[in-house]
Amino acid sequence: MTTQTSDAHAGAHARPRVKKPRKPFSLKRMFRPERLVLYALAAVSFFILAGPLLWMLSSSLKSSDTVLANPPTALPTEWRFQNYLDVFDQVPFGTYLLNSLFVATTVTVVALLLHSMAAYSLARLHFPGRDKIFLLILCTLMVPFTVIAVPLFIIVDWLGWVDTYQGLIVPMIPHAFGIFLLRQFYLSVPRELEEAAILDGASLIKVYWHIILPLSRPVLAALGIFFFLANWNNFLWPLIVTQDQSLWVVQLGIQQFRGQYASNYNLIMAASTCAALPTLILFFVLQRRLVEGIKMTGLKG
Amino acid sequence: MAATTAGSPQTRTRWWKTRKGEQRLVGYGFLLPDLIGLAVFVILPIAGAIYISFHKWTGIGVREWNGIENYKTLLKDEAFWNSLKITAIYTFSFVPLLFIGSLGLALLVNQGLKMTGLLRSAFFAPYMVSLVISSVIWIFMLQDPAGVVNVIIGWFGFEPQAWLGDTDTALISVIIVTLWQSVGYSMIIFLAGLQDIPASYYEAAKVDGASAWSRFRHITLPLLKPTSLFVALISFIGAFQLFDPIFVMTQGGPANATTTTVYYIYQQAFQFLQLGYASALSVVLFLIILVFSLLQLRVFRDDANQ
Amino acid sequence: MTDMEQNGLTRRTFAGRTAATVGSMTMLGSFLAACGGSDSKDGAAAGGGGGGTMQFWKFASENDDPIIKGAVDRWNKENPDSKVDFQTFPPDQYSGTKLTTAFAAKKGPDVFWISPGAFINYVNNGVAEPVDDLIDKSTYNPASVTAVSVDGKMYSLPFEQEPVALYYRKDILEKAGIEPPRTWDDLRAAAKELTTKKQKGIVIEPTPGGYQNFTWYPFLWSAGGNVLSEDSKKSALNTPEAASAFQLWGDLMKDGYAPKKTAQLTSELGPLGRGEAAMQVCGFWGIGQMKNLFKDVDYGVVKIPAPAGRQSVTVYGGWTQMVNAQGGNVAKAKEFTKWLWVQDKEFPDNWACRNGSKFSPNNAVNEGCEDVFSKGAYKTFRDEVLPTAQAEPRYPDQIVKAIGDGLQAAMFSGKSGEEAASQAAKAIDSYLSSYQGAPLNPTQT
Repeated sequence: MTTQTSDAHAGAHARPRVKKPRKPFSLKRMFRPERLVLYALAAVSFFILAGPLLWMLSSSLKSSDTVLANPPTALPTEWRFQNYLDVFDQVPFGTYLLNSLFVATTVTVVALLLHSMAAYSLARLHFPGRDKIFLLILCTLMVPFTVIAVPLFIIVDWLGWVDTYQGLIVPMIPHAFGIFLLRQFYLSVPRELEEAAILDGASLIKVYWHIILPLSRPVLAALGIFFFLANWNNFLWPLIVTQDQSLWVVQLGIQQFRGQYASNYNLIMAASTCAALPTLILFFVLQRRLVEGIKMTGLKG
Repeated sequence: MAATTAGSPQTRTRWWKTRKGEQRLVGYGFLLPDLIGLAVFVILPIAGAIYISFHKWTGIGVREWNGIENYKTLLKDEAFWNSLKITAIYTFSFVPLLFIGSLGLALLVNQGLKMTGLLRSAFFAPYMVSLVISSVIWIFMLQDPAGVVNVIIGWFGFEPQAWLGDTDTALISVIIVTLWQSVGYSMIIFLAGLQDIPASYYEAAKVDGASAWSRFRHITLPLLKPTSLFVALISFIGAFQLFDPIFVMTQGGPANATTTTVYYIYQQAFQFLQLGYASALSVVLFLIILVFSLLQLRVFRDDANQ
Repeated sequence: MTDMEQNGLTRRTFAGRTAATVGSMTMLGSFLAACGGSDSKDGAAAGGGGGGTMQFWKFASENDDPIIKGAVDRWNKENPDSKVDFQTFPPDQYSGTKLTTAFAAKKGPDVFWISPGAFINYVNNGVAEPVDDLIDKSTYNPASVTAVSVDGKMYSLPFEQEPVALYYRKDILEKAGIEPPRTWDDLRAAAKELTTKKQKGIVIEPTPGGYQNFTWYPFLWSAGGNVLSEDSKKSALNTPEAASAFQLWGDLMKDGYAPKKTAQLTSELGPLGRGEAAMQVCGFWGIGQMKNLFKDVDYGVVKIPAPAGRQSVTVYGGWTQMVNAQGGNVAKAKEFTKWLWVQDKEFPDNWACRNGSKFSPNNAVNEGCEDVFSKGAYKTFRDEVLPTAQAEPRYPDQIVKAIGDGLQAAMFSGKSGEEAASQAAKAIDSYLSSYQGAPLNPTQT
């Protein structure tokens, strides 16, 4: 967080055209009434939005008989770090984490490449049927996954992919949301850049590879986080397509602690914390780029 | 290529032809991998669902063609129409609240407060936990009578509520949980839109003595319109497909007060083993989402005309 | 967005596109028909993952799964040619999502556990292989056998009986000077008396679903009511007896004596163990939970209370082991099932009383567990509760939902017991009018 703040200070001088230039720290400014209101609002929002997650953290350290207590306790009566060891001890949680990492990363990388190609084609190139294809793609967003689960499973089975990594990965790659978002971005990239290159005799593939792709790095980073999160948290499809527990992903692993008659909620919370941690770190590292990235999608006016 | 400058009509046509050829080749070529993926793993299953919707099929037994019988049944299925009503109430409460909430948060983290990075991360963090887990967390928080939420409203003198255990508050609880979960995601998109509004607009307005509200009303809102409509469309489509929190938190209860359409479809398909009927319901749901999405896209278009 | 305009996004193009999609459906349909295959010969070859390995599926349960895994490992050592692959899935997704999608693609497991709500559907669709030849029926609890029988044939193997009773906190009741309730009047009075600001009088299941019905049946039956008529042709809920059972649960909820929502299914005795409630309706498995989680809590067990002058009747669940008739190796799958539950010397005892607490429908196993079952709460269950227990009905989930809707209406929508009963009866009759298949109430043979 410290880097964020110091960054902000530097920004105040380096980029004076920023809407609200961040002024150096001043108590007087901070305690102006309208600033105080803003800080109060920020504190309340922080409490509401982060509170439940802090509670998840606290629950992950409770014992199994106090985790469900009603009224609940804010902090564990005894701190059981053992829960985290149990998670890895009782089920192959490390394997689940690795599977999730592999699946989510592969889907994200491949999807970004394919979607950016498709989006470039839809945004920039001219060929018959282009707009109709785009509309068809958009329509696919409107069908809930529950509905297509059975036919999709039949197809994947027909391909012989049940209980395989490709069965987990490939069907999750095509997704209209990414194509839609990237297309908006490419529409807003100034045409001059490409046209100059084309006049120089560059092929369209070269233009895409050497001009468009490098330009879209920030937006790809942003979309990458969205994709990664969506796949990391995916539950239903991995449940349907895998049987072998060596292929299970982390969200299925968490469900292991739910039983028929009773659940180990302290372990569920510990497992959930372990599952959320990589994504939290990813976001902390990439959050500046995320904001920059979406800025470039051309969604603004 | 050198012929470009020559200017003779014939060569010019040929030059265009070549370019057109390349555009088509690369255009289709780039689209192909994704399109094949979509065709096989999304469109084909959708087609399959539509095909199944004309059948009586338990999933485990033999499939029998029964024409539009399923569609006739659903016209008289009160529970289905009731689920649509609940879904509509949810969607039309959730989307505006999400809109206001996420825009508010985006404005807040755009004020150059201290620790903006921490705030931004904290606001986005609920989105990083899967819906299943956040639902579990909230079941605890909404417990009756002594859950955290009841303790907090108790400070302000309110009676403890049963939340998920009361037909009047169950859907409200679901709205709260899903808002909590997704407000950070939309905030990030709004934030990006906000940061792109030129500061000079605000400065000019300030010189003219415009109040903060009027600057927001006359500069921020109009310039955010495309972002707003994007957020609205995506959250609308998502809201109409609400399922996970219902599955984990309420199983559609109490007294069906939270039985959304997708949850109802799930019950029909996977509990009652009426895959054909469930598919027919899905087709109708799809058409409804499509109509509303078209309306929103229509607004997009009209907006662009101005 | 401006690009929308450029692309000429109009309703007409949308409509055109949609029409084209629908047009190509027919073609895609034949593809699906080919690969989804309703040809049973095809299905038989594809089922069970091929090879010599058989799939054995159930829902995950942390306490039980290790000993099943151990037994499966022993089987695999002895039968290298017909190995069993044992897989478990999250309980709330197992029966619905997992089994349904697998069978829809003809990828159903060879051996699997089936819930009472799904049992009849699987039998009606020809998935269930008769398993009569696996056991000597005379050594089995007759009611357990009847519950899984259609036309005198057993379509699934029962392996446990976990009856439902009323657990109570001895300390709390003693302090309040209240005897464990035996009649409904006692129950109402006790629930009222024991409800304080921080403590509920009783816990009954508030969330709709199979478990809620399961724990409510004892109240219905004890009142003399029934869900269906004897011949399974129509609902029998339109009676004062049934209405009184709806009314009882509705009152307990409406008057605030029972929690309206619990963090998890009330099959978990946490509320009782932590002292958040004085009484809780729960099954035999609760003994194990109290032993593991709440060692120091002083609790007792009584039969489910009945209306004054009536006999208490309770229920026992529920899951049974089915062999997939379309599987790749039906004979071996049956052999494995027999080995696991009947022939093996170690596993059935382990299952029933060494590792867990479950009565077996197999008399020999219960005799082997005599040393455990003759003590404390086990004894109460064996001597008082079990003799009054009936098998969980095999009503399909539509009927489960109809009853559940009635219960929910009584508990949360302010409906009277009578209204709730007639609402449920109507929904059941409407379902039965189009139901074709095995009789829902088992018939004695």
